[in-house]
Amino acid sequence: MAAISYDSPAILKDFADRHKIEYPLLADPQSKIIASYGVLNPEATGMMKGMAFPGYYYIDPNEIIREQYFEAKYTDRFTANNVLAKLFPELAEEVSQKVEAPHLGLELRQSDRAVAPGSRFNLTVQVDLPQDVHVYAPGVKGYKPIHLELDSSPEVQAMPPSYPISKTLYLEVIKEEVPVFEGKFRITSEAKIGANPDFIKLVGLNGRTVTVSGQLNYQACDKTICYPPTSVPVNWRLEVLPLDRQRSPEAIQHK
Amino acid sequence: MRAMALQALTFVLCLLGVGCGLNRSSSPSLVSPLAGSNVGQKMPPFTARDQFGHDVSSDSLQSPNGTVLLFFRSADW
Repeated sequence: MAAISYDSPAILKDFADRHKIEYPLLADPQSKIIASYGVLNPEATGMMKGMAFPGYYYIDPNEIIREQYFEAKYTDRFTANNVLAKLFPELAEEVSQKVEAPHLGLELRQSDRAVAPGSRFNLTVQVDLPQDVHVYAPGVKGYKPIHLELDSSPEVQAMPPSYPISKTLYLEVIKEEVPVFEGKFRITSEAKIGANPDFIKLVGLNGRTVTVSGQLNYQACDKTICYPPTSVPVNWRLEVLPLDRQRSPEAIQHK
Repeated sequence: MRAMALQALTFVLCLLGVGCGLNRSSSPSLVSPLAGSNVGQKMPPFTARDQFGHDVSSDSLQSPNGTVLLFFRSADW
């Protein structure tokens, strides 16, 4: 794993020293590597000439590029833990909390505890249903499907959730096949921290706590009864860190 | 170990993150042109100097689970 920029080794050393970074920050002052990976920003001119579009590549053990994570706007960034959550979900949950919920086990997880303006991170709802209990999956007709509803605000924009592939259950009593979830499964969603100047001003020098709120709606059923539809509040808290605005010493700055 | 390293990456992204470039009216292109152009291709090999003065090759970054390359705008902005 490494990070690559068009900075000189001196700039990277200064930055790494200030922030105690020990993994490789690689200097590509001629932007040859940046160009060879197709991420050279052709519109960057002057002292920004040679700059890369920011993002990640995942390369498999056979040296094949398998995934890329780049945002449309340079101000928006996937967090490293969000990338990790996509590549290796079992390693990615930095924070988890259990929530009381009728008829099922519910755990909320998040890829990151601390983020920056523009960060795109991962939120997970893990549901654990007792044996013989199911909830209806999205797409079901005539029943209330499980639905994760997240609120957006000027500080955090929530994206539509992703659900796992459902199972088909045959209901003998009504002779119908319905899509359901059983056992343990995850619903994931991404959210993005605001990056506009007003919000960055609010974050200031001390940072800011933000909360992503919402609700999980579902109806649980077992072999004999369907319980009334219910709604459980869910929320995740994150610290938004201030931006680092310190440049390198003048002698080694880009000019 | 991988998780710790990526958490460190998260930290540096928080630092590099949106960067000081936000307030610079001359910041180039807001839009990345990437459209999956490299996925499925072999990684271009490279050697580059790191912050410790060591030359690091792309081969040396490989692990049994692969590797992650982060391209970032600058540590000087």
